[in-house]
Amino acid sequence: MPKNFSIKIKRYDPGTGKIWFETHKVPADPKLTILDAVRAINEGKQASVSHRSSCQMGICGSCGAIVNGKPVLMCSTFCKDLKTPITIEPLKNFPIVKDLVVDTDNAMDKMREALPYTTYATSKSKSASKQTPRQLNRIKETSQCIKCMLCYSACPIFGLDKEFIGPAAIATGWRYNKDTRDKITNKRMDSLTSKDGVWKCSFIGECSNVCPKSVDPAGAIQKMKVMGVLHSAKSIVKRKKK
Amino acid sequence: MKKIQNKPGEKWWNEKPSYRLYYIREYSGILIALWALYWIGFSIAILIARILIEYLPETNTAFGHILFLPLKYYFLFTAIGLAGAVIHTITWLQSMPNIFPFRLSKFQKGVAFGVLILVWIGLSAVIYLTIRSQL
Amino acid sequence: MDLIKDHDILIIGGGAAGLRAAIAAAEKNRKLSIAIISKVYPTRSHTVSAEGGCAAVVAQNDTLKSHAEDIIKGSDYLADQDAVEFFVKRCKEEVLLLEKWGCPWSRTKSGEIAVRAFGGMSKKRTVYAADRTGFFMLHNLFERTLRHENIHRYDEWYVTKLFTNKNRVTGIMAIHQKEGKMKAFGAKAIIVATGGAGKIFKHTTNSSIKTGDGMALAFEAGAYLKDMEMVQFHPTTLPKTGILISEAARGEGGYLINNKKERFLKKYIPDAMELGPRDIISRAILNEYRKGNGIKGPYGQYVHLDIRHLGEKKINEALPQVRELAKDFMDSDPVSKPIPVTPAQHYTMGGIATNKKGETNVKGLFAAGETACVSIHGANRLGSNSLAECLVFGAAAGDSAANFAAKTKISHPSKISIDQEKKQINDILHNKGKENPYDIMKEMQETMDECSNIVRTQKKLEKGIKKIKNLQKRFQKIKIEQSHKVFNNELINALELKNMLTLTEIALLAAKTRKESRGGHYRSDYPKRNDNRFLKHLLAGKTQSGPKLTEKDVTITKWKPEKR
Repeated sequence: MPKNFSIKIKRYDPGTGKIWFETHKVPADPKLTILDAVRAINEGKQASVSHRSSCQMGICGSCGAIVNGKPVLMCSTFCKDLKTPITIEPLKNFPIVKDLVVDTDNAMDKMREALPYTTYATSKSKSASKQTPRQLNRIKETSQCIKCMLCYSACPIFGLDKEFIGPAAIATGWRYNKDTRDKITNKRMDSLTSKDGVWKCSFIGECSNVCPKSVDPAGAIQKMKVMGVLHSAKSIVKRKKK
Repeated sequence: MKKIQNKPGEKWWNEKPSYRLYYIREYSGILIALWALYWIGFSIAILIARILIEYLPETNTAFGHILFLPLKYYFLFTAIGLAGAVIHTITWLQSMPNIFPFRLSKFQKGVAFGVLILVWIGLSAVIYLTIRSQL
Repeated sequence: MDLIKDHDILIIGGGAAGLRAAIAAAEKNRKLSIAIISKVYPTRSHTVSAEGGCAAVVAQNDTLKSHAEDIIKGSDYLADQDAVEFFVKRCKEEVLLLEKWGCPWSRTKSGEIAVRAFGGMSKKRTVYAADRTGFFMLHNLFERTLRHENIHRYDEWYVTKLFTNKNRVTGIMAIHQKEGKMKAFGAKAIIVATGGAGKIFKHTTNSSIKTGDGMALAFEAGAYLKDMEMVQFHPTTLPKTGILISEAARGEGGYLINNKKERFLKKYIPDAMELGPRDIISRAILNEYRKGNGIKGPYGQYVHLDIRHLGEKKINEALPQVRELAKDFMDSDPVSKPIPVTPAQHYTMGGIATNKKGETNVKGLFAAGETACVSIHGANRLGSNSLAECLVFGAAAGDSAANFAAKTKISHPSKISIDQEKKQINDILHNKGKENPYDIMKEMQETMDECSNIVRTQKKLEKGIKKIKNLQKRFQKIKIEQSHKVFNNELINALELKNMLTLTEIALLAAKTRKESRGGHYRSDYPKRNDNRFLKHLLAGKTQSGPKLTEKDVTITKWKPEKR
């Protein structure tokens, strides 16, 4: 292992409007993560590289960034596994606020369209509904989503068309559809199979490649397309009956 | 304070191997379309030739000339069509296990892909042998 | 000219307690306008790292009396017993409510909600969701708030001040980090749910956002802080990173082993072994280090947590996150190698003094979650009670705030105080000095680690107070390099540092005053518990000459203090 790691960061200052690359050297350590390196640069040299971070263990989803061309979580990526100089850039497909901070409101708001809630009357609950471990297993994969937005950064369709609902929202919709306690599947399908919904996906598959929690949104979207076809057929029949 | 837009570059499809593979997959459809257009053109040529033979028998040689042009490029266009069809079929079968409505592990998806390839080769062989015995 | 934005209820903090309070208030009264202000996006709150589970009396053979008794005994009798009784009654309905909202609790084979054993609990009563309970709960609560139209969210706004007028809250001032502007809000009721203050220590399991801002805000606004010396040290965390290895690993049957390959806890607590209270186990591990029985590593001494005998299937089913964390951050797969663990700070039992309904001594100010101290955890918290506390007291605070807001008229902070606060923040931003605020933060964390750790002495505590007062003076001379407020991490970190320096002074003062050992507060110069003198809470209030401590009796209903 070398004595120092060379880190190149893409910076943007909204006050002056300048974009530039900065290189820093950080003392090497086998357990040094990218996030540790950025914090060392900020604390030692007061370089003011703005970034988001919270849990430092890969569960909160705040520290997404593009490192050597791949979208990753900065706190779970170790410097020793990467080719130097390590290049850190903000996530693609989102407007940049400052340095490594991007504005993800557009994508986060799309979660609402997946109707990610159950609709039981809520004031009191006397008993729990039954759910076997096998039924719970059906939602195991897609319920791991930490909303880190790496899939939106990897999806070229979302990059070219900001109206597309996106992988994480559809995966969340799939998770609620498959939950045995859900009762609003039809409403959710109407929302997700609209013109900005599942049909815009052309199965590039990059979202599943970058997902740090193996949620497999690409698989969920394709399965949702199959469900969507059946749902559309059913609603045409219903309309005809009326 | 102004935010800067961060759109994908003009050559976004060239940035990653998986994006390039996606483009090859989608463009194989164009190869098949070219082949289809060739066959449509060829069919129209045969139709015209038959009409000519029926009503203007002295244009027998003209008939040969009209058919000759498409025939010259027969192997080229068949090769293009075959390449497009093979790429498209393989990539389509590769993504089919992902859309089954039940969950499969990576190994099971590989096995499913293998089975689909075998079925495809098997069906193609059956069709080929049937047509050969008819000719 | 900036307008003040009005809401009926303002909730500072978007973790489990804050979101639960918002839902409770929204469902109580659909006409109230409720705002959640958080300095990070709500799903990034520290609740997401919670792993073990949520305690509730759901099993058939369990009783409320047993749960209450375990809590009171575990708290070393410093818990207020009427609050504990209120708490244990409501845990089950919160768990069932969350289940109806779609939270994927782990199940038994027949489909009932499963429970597992946890430290300090005499029966199995920890409801869990694989071992990412906090993650599933937080995302579920967050997705539930999306359903209510009267809940507005202000994400990544940092609250700098709580305005009051004649001991009543009137509003707050916050920095909008994305735009770089400051804005004032008016409110009828304010609920503080910002979490604990783990970042005052260097070795902690807490995330980098747990800086105790809400506690400092409430203290500056006149609320009392209770039991600030009570801090919990979790025995099993990874060395260097401080990442938590859940108590669930011990609950499922893990062993703690020293360098002589023996389960050393049989020398300290032979009845409970690995499922004893956390403070006793942490002290036991430190004792083993002192005797030379710790395993030496590049980041200090550690002991081994062995779960190999559980088998790969059980680990994948009940402890998947423990396996992932050990593999990713320590390169050791718990299926084949034992996990290196060492104690680190984990939870702040102390906080803003509230009653059972979440009310503080300031009118209109409420608090819930780790920020508040009701107190049900006393001097030591039992595992899995924290998530339950967030739900029960979050709902209680939301209810009380909704009732208060319904019968109160709004009153705004005065223009003078708003302008004064803006000037103060700008002064900090453009301060002419030379000190690097991060150096001050590191020294504060090292001071707390040295002087206010698992074992405390009078000399060390006095040294700590002197050092903190010096750091407070040095804080006046900091320099912040970035000059505008758009996502200025440095400015936010400096304001957090200011809050943390306030809290460390109070914590050290309270630890110095409590001349006994109780629960998580252990003094080698006063190693015994002194119920005659110190069966009391220590309340810290703000005065002109600094924080001043007063005492308050512990409420005892049924359980007389005994030896633990």
